[in-house]
Amino acid sequence: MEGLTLSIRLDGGERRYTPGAFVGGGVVVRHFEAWQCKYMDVTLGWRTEGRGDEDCQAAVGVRLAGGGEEMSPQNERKFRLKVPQMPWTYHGVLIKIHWVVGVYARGMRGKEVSEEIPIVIHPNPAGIQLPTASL
Amino acid sequence: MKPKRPGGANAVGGGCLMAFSLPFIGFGGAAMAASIVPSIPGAGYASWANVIIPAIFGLIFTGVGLVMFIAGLRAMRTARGGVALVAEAPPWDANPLFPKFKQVRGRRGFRLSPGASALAKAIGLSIAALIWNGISWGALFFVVRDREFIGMICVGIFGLIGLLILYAAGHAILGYILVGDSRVEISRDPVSPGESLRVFIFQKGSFPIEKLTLRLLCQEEARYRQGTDTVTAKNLVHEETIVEREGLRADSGAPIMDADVAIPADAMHSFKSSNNGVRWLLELSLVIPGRPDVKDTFEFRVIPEVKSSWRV
Repeated sequence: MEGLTLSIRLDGGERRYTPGAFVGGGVVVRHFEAWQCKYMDVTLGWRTEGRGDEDCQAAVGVRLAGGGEEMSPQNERKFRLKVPQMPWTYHGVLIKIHWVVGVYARGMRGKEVSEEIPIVIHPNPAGIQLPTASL
Repeated sequence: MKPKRPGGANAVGGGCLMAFSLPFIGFGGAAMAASIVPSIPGAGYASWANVIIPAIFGLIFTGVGLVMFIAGLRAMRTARGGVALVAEAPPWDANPLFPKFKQVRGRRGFRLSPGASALAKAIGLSIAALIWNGISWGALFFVVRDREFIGMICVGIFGLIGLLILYAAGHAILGYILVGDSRVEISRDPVSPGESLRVFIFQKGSFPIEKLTLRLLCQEEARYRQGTDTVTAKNLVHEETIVEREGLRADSGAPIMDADVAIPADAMHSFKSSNNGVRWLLELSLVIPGRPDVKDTFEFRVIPEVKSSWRV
């Protein structure tokens, strides 16, 4: 959907979480005019990277808006998601497991717009390198 | 290129799958119709085979086509309406990404399944040897009879490979008869990173064991498509010799040895998705004088739950 921009703001800004903790924050939505939202989902998802074919899954998620809801040109929707127990962020030799907080939105017309922020999910999150680039 | 949304579906892929399914449904339907309607009006059915065979083929093709059509339709709907969202993920013991094992109680703990049992190895290699040698030696007979020298060299190579498979099959059969399955039991299943478990090893029969080696392994497995083949790459990210002992004796009634195994505190938990996995294994090697040696792996599970404090 042209002109629609999404940005994710995470509470604390640490981007490192232990399993069972909560990821909270807000999604800032900007558009040059009021628009009708088919869906706007925020998810915690993981995907593999490495030698094997990619596996990915949205482990948890919540719908922030949808069903043709009228959206103002600029607003912020808050969310809070419980971090799953598994899989942990993993940087192996053949396999890497990355987690992202992602927001995916679509108007009644046009394509899906998305924004993702890489995060770390691990019992010892300080010991895991945080990805800097978008995955 | 932006990666696809985790759990998301591709509308174009769904449409392609639906289009691809149509010839299957059409061909299957035509085959089923042909089985019901005689090809020559008034001629009747030649035999039951003329009815049953096209009907079975028609059913299979139509079934496969319908499954593909429904999968494509679902993918298109998901792509349009977003993924099905779950508010809370299941705990690790109900998570499909955690390997599921049937827990079998043994004499001292939980019995682990071998990578391949001695009987399965013996049967599998015997069947392979029978098929390979049947074809290659049969072909060799005809090229020798017709004195085709180039054919003799080419088919002879296959015959030699067949002899190697026959040797391996004989070795596996002897292994099954003279040694049998080794049994590994662990005191707890599953286990957390940083915890220890006790391993008990049993061996059928009664014979001396020259050397026993038990290793703890963590193996990454990545499956990928290469052309029309599916290849699995494996890599050991943790290797540790737990015990190496000489001068033991197999005794059917008692464990031949037991040992403590500590799972590293910074270990990755067991994980299995469609194409990627992390497996924890105990590798047992037995050197047995006058009998086939044993080398097998036994998988156990490490849970994504840390009970002790991190030591990293």
